Formats: sequence, structure tokens, C-alpha cells
Amino acid sequence: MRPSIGASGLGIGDKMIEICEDGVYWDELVERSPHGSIFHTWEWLKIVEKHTSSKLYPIVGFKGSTPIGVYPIFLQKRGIFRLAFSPPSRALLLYMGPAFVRYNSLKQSRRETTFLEFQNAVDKFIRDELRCGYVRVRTSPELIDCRPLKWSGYDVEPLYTYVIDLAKGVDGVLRNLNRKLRAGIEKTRKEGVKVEQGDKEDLEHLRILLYERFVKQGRKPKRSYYKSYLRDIYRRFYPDNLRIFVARYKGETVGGLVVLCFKDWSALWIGIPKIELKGIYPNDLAQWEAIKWACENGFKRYEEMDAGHLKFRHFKSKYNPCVAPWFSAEKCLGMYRFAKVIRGVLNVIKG
Amino acid sequence: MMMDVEIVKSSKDWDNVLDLSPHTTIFHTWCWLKTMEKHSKKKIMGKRCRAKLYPLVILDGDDAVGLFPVYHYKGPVSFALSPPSGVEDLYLGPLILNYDSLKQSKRESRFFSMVREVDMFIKDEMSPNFILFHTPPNLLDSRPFKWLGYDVEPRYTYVLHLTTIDEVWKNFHRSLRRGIEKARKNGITVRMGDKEDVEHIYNLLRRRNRIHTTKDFVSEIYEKFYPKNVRVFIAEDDGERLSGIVNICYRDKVCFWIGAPKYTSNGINPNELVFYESIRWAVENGYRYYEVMGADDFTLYDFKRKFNGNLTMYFTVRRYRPSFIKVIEAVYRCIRPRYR
Repeated sequence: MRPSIGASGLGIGDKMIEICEDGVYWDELVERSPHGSIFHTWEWLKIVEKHTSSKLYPIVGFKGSTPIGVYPIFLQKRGIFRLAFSPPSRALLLYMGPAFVRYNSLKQSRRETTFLEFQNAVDKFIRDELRCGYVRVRTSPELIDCRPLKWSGYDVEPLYTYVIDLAKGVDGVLRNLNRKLRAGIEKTRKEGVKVEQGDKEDLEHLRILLYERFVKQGRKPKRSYYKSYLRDIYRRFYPDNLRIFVARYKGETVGGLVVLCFKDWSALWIGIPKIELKGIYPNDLAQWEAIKWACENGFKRYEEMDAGHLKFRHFKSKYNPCVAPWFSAEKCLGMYRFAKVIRGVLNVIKG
Repeated sequence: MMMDVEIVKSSKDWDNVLDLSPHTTIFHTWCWLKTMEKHSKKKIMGKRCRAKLYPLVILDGDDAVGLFPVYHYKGPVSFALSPPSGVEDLYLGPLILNYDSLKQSKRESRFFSMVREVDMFIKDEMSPNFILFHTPPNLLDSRPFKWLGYDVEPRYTYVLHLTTIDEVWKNFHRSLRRGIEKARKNGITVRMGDKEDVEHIYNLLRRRNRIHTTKDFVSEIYEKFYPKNVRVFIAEDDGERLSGIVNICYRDKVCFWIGAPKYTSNGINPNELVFYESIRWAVENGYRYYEVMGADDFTLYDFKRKFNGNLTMYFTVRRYRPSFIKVIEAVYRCIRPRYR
């Protein structure tokens, strides 16, 4: 039975999309979808909505009375521009986009038509109801087909992330690590660096280090950068879905990371910037302890989120992960297209 | 990591290392590369320009670590392409030797250094205004190109995993199964073809403007690669040729290369049957994969999707020199309608 969830329903042929108001129902669909990530969960979306000055449209797609997937869209108004995002920027999120229910059991041709129809319905909603001229969707790494987005007029660019398969257990993962990394971890441990699970204060400490990194990079973040956002995420997701690993050396925090976990997936979400200490590698040790923890707690995958940076690749690739593509898709209309060209021209001029 | 780029002179040196890469396709073999060089021409501002092949090997010390065939077209505007233009080739691009046995950190640093060196070589030797590569399927990492400033676009092709013919049949879309049965009931038969049949297929495709190469090229490929790597399947009705396909067999995969011009009469589609019979042939001859090449073209999507192949990714990477040419493209994209 289809639950009564919708405030507004849009008829697209025999397909309907509806704005979901029932978080429990939404989370159930996210749970059932292979693309459903922690970022798709109702409470995460609501926290993102609160902190990114955007309006969330949690869209559920139906085929007849059967739900086919969820598609969270965030509407942002910047001056005269109306922009649609999934996910919005400045929420420390890489990907979101559509999450289909029962996708993996469908035949390929069915998968394609489902995605294409859902995408068309969502595009129509974004264009006609939200009146947005710019859409940016970043899809989950589990979704390898981006053609429905291309066919719907999006420009698609591949992006990358690293995934470590934990099926071989701790020993199997350890054997696969780069030899230098293994030696580095061992040495760091012998030097007396201890990795512990952290709490709210450690998260705050990490946030400040992150803030300082951005300042060093020449950006101008607010002093309260991510403060309330991370506090809300912590309050809701710790300890079931969020863990903090910190490396301490002589009483000081010298490295660490925030790990997210959801279903059989775990991931390095935010890392503490490297602290220069000769001959010891606290971040390597902290991440190794996090991977070990994920292995021992039954997670099947550990993702080192974002493999796109030439600069950070050495830190992540030495754990011998697989590289997995995901996609960033953009579509512009009318004056937005013009604005994009201007931006493109400026970029070319800047080199 | 410093590497050297050299031009390979002999087919032996090239073909000997091809087996070391998991991404090698038949298009990477010396003979195919040379045949493409002979027949590939590109019209640049009204001028027909011939291709010059640079079969590049990338060396780390004395060891070959990668291969990269690049075609150069010198005209009013200069192009560096891989695969070349006008030879019905979907992908070519770089091969990294021993890719599967390398750990990720080694893999990506080797791939990155390799692409960087080739990019420099191309710049020095050819100074092209436009570079366009289509990388081979299953090489999922396109970051080295991105890091060097190329624009990257994901592309797809359909690959069927061949187990038993019953499994493949079950996996077909219902309408495809019905179409095959119907064609069979109406007396359409499929047989293996020869050179004359290849020419017949070529003529049918030409008439429908669905082929972008010369008959000479297709004939030469047939002569050089039949029967080991090229097979032809022809659908007939009472001795009259209706349609056909030319397949490529290489390693453990059969690829649909050219053919299957649109043909329906009385609702009967011989193409579906000809595909089915060629897939059956592939299963019976121990091939593990069957590729229905190209899954991006929306106009062909309705036909190809019915086979329910698995999606396999490859990438198109491009670059403009000087980069202001990109502005012209951006303006064009701005004018081109985007919203459907």
C-alpha cells in the first residue's frame, strides 16, 4: 500500500514524483537502495538544509504504487539566481543524487529506463516548480551509469574516490599495504603514538585544525566554520554512524580522522591536516586503526573519500585501494548558460 | 619518476609487449594500427590530411611500462588523435603494462608519469591544436588526464558475459526474444559470410550513411584478419541477403564491429536474429564476452539495450591548444539548446 506522504504530486505519465514528508518511510527506502548513503538519510538531509540556507525537496519516485527511488534536491537562492543542488556545496559532502530501490536486481535495460524516467520527472519538477536554471547533481560511486544524465542534457565529469575491500580481513588488508606504509605505522607505534577513539572535544579540535588549513590555503572561512553543522551531525550520528580516531603523542593530539559508517560501508570523512613530526606518521597509524576497527566491526568496505587531488593521493593510495569513479553533472538554462560561459572564459584567461 | 618516450620501429617490438596489458584491444595490434594509418584521412578546413602514426613506447630505464599509439594530422589546424579519424574505431589510447599486478600507488604514479611524458612528447613533436583520445574499456582511472588539464567525459559500451546460451537468452529483453522467434518462423536464416558479403554490408550501411570509412579499409581488414579475428554473419531470406554484421574476435571477447543496417519488412527484423546467432557462435567457440560496441548513442539505445549487456566504462579526453579555442567551444555550447 502506498503511504500517504506527499504534499505535492506531479503526474508524469503513469509515473509520479512526490515530496516526502515522512522521514521513517524515506529512511526505509534509503536503507533498501544500494546507492543510499548516510548523506541520503532524513536527519542528515535536514541538518544540511538547516546549515546551508537552502530548502530541501526530498523527492520520492513511483512507478504505479511502487517506489523506485529517492532524489533529494536542495534549492538555493543567490540574488536573482535559483539553483538546485544534490548535494549542496559547503556541507563537506562529496556525493548524493538519486538512490534507486531494488536497482541491482533489475535487468540493465530496466535500470536505464527507470533512471531516465525518474531523471526526466525530477528535471521537470526542478524546471517548472522550482524554476531553477542551474542544476548540479553528484551521484554516488555505486551508480556507474551516468548516461541518463547525459541524455537529459547534463554535462558530466567523472570524479574519483578510493575504496578498500575489507572482505579479506585485517591480515589481508595489512598484507596489501605499501611496504613503506607498514614500516611507518610500526615505527610510529613503537615511538609511543597511541590511537584512541575521540569525542566532541576532539571533533572541535579537528574543526579548528581544518579551519586553520583553509586559512593557510588563502581562503577566508568564518571563524565558526562548520561549528554548528558538525555539532549537529555529532549529536545525531555519534556513536552509531560516526567515530573519531585521534592519535596522541606525549599528551598532544597529532593526527586523526572522522569515520562515518552506514550499512556495510565505512569511510574516512574528514582528516586532520598533516602535522610535521620527524620520523613518525600519526595520521597513517590513525587511519590504519580506523580500518582495523571497521574490519573487526563487520564492515565490508572502507572508503577514503575523494581521490581527485594530485596532492593528497599519496596519503590515500598507499593503502592499496581500488579507484572508483562517481560523477558530477551540471545543467544550465538561459542566462545561467551565459553566466557559465563567462565563468569559463574567465577561467581560460586566468589559465 | 622520469620516463622516456620512443617511437617503436618494428611490429615485433610492439606486438611482443601487447599481451602484458589487460586493456589491449585488437585495435592496438601493429597490423590494425598500420592499416588504420594507411586509410585514415581527416578533412581539415576543406583539406584532406593523411594520418601519421606514432607508435609510442614509454620506457622506465630499459623497461617498457606502457604503449600509446597516437595519430597526427598536419593541416591548417593540427590534430593528435587516438583512435584516428574515419576508421570506425571507438577507442584506442594508452596501455599500461602489468597494470593488474601493480599496487594502486605504483599504478597511478606510473600511469600519471606516462601520460605526462606522452603529453610533452606530443607537444614537442606535433604541437597540435586539438588532442582527442578515447581510452580503452575497463581502464577506470582517467585522473592522470584530468591532472594534466584535459577535459574528461565518461563513455560506455555494452558487454555481455557469456555463460551458456540459455542464460544469455533468458537475460534478453522480452521483445528481443519475440523478435528473434518471429524472424526464425518467417524463414530467415543466418550463415557465415565472406568478402563479398562484407562489401554488401558496407554498401547497405553507406546507403544509410551509417558508416564513416572507406570500402578499401574494410576489405583490407577482412583480408588481413579473416578468419582468425574477423567473422561475418549474414541474414538471408530465401537466398536473398537482408542484413549482416562484421565481428571482431580477440582474446576472450567477440565485438560487434560494423553492420546491422536498419531493416524491417512486415515487422520482421533480421538484425536481432543475426546478433543472436553470432552470440551463439561466440558461446560455442569458448569466448567469454560479447561486446555490442557503443552504449552512448541515444538513437541506437533502443536496439542495443535489449541485449541487457553489462555497462563497461571508457573515457573521452580532450584538450585544446592554445586554450582560447576552448572559449569558442564554450560559446557554441552556450548557443546549442541544452534543455529537452
